[in-house]
Amino acid sequence: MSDDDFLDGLKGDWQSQDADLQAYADLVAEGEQKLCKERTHRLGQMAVFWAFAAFFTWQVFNAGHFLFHVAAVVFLTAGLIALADFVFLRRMHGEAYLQQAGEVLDQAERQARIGLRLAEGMKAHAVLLAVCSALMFGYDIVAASEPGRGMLIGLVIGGAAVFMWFAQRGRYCEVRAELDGVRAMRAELQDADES
Amino acid sequence: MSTLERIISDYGQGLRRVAASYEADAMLQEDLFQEILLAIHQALPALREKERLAPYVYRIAHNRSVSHVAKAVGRKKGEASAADDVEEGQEPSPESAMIASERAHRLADAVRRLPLTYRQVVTLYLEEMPYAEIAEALDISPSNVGVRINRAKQMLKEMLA
Repeated sequence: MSDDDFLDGLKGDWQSQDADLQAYADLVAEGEQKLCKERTHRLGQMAVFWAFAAFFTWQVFNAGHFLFHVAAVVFLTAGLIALADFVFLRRMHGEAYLQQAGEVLDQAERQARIGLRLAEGMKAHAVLLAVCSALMFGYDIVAASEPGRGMLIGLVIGGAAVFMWFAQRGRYCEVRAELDGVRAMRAELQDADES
Repeated sequence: MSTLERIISDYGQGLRRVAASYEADAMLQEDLFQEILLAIHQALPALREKERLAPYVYRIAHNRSVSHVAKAVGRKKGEASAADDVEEGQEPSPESAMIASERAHRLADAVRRLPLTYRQVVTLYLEEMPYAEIAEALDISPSNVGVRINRAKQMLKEMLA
């Protein structure tokens, strides 16, 4: 049996793997809806951060309390990180996949590197939240006119800090693995080009 | 018939198999196929300017799959078999259908284990694409296609022996 016979003999088995494609139009529409939902979710998250940031900045000018300064900084930072996430980590448009595989991988690597920086930024932000929570507790114990209220807010912020830190640690590991995967595939392509 | 409908009717099964050559898990295959269709849908204005569609449709499919696999590396993959996804064929008899399905499953599994560059040429070759179109799809020279196909053949022979 010649090599060509061997591969040609596999064509039948390969092409016998067929699927029902009747619902393809629904699949495309569903995919577009999914993209739209994802975009709306990210925009909504960003809007919440910016709304809180605006509210606390306004409170800084009105009341001037140091806790408002802290809260304004916390939400402004979160808003900026969410904005960077939205701008730099957009899904690649379909036309981008018409480029060469190497260019697609370059773009994927660039995005993964930005993703790593953003995950680091969010982890740092979780620490900032934890500090904010500690300040709330401290203020409540030392100087609050209504004891207990600051502690409750501090508890909520502290919980958010812990959740964010663990979530971002997971995201960091994922993006790290993605970056390694992209690099490995690029190395494979380069090796094939050189041989 | 719209361009997308024509692409699906002409290349849909092949695109589905490209997805299967990157992703073993049946559900993730479905997701990847959806992502490929979406990317093609978004690229339609550019595709309409191309003289030949096949190389570019498959280029999008492979590039989208590469990007999907890179993202999937970080998450835990399921162990579901690609055989779940093999649909019923002409069903000559239950026994021969089972043997054919088993062979198709083994082949799909072997193709997935090929290095990326060999996997790409082999999937396109198995879709009956001529060397010139494979070269155009992967942006390599036709002689390079020949070299890669030869190496892929050797690897497949060993895996399927």
